[in-house]
Amino acid sequence: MRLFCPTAQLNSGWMHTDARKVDNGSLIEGDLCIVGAGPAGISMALDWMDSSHRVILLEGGGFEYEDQMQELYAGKTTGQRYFPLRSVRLHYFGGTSGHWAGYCSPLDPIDFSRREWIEGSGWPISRQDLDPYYRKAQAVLDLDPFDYDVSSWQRKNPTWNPLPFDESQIRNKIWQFSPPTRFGTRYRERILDSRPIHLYTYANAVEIVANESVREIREIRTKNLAGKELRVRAKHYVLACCAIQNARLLLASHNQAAGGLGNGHDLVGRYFMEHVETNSAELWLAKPDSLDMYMVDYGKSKARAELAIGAAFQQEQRILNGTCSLSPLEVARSHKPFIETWNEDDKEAEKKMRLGLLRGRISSRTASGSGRYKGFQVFTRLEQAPRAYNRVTLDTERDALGMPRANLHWELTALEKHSIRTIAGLIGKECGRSGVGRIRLMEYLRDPKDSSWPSFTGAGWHHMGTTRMSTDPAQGVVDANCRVHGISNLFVAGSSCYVTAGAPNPTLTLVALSLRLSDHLKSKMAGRA
Amino acid sequence: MQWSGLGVLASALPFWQFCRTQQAAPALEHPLIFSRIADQAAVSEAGKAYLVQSPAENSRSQLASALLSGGGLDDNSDPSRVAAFLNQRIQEDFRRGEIVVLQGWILSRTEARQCAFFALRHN
Repeated sequence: MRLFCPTAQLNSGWMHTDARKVDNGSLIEGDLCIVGAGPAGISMALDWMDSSHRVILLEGGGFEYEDQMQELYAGKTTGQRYFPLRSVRLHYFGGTSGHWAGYCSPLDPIDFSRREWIEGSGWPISRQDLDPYYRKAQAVLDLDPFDYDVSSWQRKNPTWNPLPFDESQIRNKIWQFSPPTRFGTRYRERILDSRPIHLYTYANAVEIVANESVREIREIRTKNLAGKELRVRAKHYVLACCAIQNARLLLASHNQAAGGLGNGHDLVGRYFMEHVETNSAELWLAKPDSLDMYMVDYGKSKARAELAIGAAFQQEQRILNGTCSLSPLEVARSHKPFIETWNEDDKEAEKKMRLGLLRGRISSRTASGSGRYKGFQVFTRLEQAPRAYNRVTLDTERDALGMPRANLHWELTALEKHSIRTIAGLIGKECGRSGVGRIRLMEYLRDPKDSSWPSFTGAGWHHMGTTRMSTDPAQGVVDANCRVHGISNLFVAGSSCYVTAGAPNPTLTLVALSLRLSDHLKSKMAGRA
Repeated sequence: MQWSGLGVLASALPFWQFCRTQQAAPALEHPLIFSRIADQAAVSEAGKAYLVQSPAENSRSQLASALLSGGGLDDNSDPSRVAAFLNQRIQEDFRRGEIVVLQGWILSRTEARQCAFFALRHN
């Protein structure tokens, strides 16, 4: 049976099909097929609302959280202690925006450059290339305009007084806060009412099928737990299922290409990256202060600053990029490290996590506090050096749809620890030079020869890499336009294309990158690219 | 013991003992900013850690000499002059990277020596 956009349906303004209810083996046809309805996929789809092209948006889950859908994401982890893969991504319409905390900041120009002290660094695009799309992404994420200028935010917030540090070494980097935008609720009606977009829920992509020469995708096969299979044909295909699932789908599509599609150079799944997020030091002020500029009242603050490290210092010290946030010690000490708040055995914590009730929802002040404090926790978020051995692989065990499960190996190195220590040391130096106060390093950072990591070392639940971008097929899975090397009509959207992680949470950049891809595809389909 | 008690302690010393004590000692053992942050036990612990790191300075005379060098001062100089000199030197230490890590505290070498002086004098 052939499906798509019969005229009656086009006029109905209700473009949604539950794939459990269609005839088994149905063929769906359109112009563009987006696989995955999380922030990347929905951002792209929204960009095609006024298009004359027919867009098929495939979502593996439904509109609500379901245990059996999450179970499809279960997998093993090795290396550094990590969160359960089963629940670190959300498998329903809206994706992981369902438990996102809303922190947004663009990558720095240095994040895109080749840094000779960081192997594998260097994007084929620059920050300037992304700037127009950052502007558009701000609106998608319900943020204020694309303004990350410190003085501009200081004018809006007269109580913001920056710490008196040498700005060539430590600058203030602005973070804006999305409400946060829950894509599943925020954009559901708009997607369903859109005429060019047809959403299929319970359509889990299980295989990408190429033509005989494996240079063009012919169709995507989907399955669901009701036993229904669909085939989806389009002119162009975009994988927007998140870093782990994008890699999993490419690797599992190995009937025509040994090792999986786009994996001629054994790069698919490799260079997985996370953010190292951990307490690194205590800041003790000589005089109590509110440090308003660096505080967040969750749900109220539109922005705050974090301490960011100057590019020249990063180069001189040969360290990774990172930023530090501050929160009063009495608040910080009342919270367990994130890595300890969520494990598979703690069902209550897991429920809170999936509802977005724990992650990042920590205001900087106590309700009863005076607002002025002497002691602050320094919390560092750091990019991870891209390493080929940090990777997603397929397990021999299969999920309920017959897909091999994804396993994750994730390790940290001495460079990450050296960078965190060096950044804390720089803040300590600036505190001393300016007379603001003193820094006390966390115990695990005190011995410069110790490169081990404590058990509470956390990560940001940020999955990046696995289909990294490069102009050279031997160095990356996708090219500068996010097209899979060697396959003319297969593209990847989202943070799996990241070459390096930067310090900021990835959502803003992945939406910007998806909108850039969207523009490219529009040009391509209009015959301009 | 709180830092505000130091003056009382000094004034309560018997005269013969006071004469044996360097006049500059209150400044030599009092790291101005660090002492607003840390209690005396923490200062003492940091001082002991410094003496382990720098055993060659493990005497009050060695420390006083290192602290006062280059300032045209000696251990009988006016404490307020000594304090002003040391506070300026602490900032210079941080500027020049003369930094030590003691019990996790990132301190200037000068204030680390002050901590050590305190530890020797009160233990």
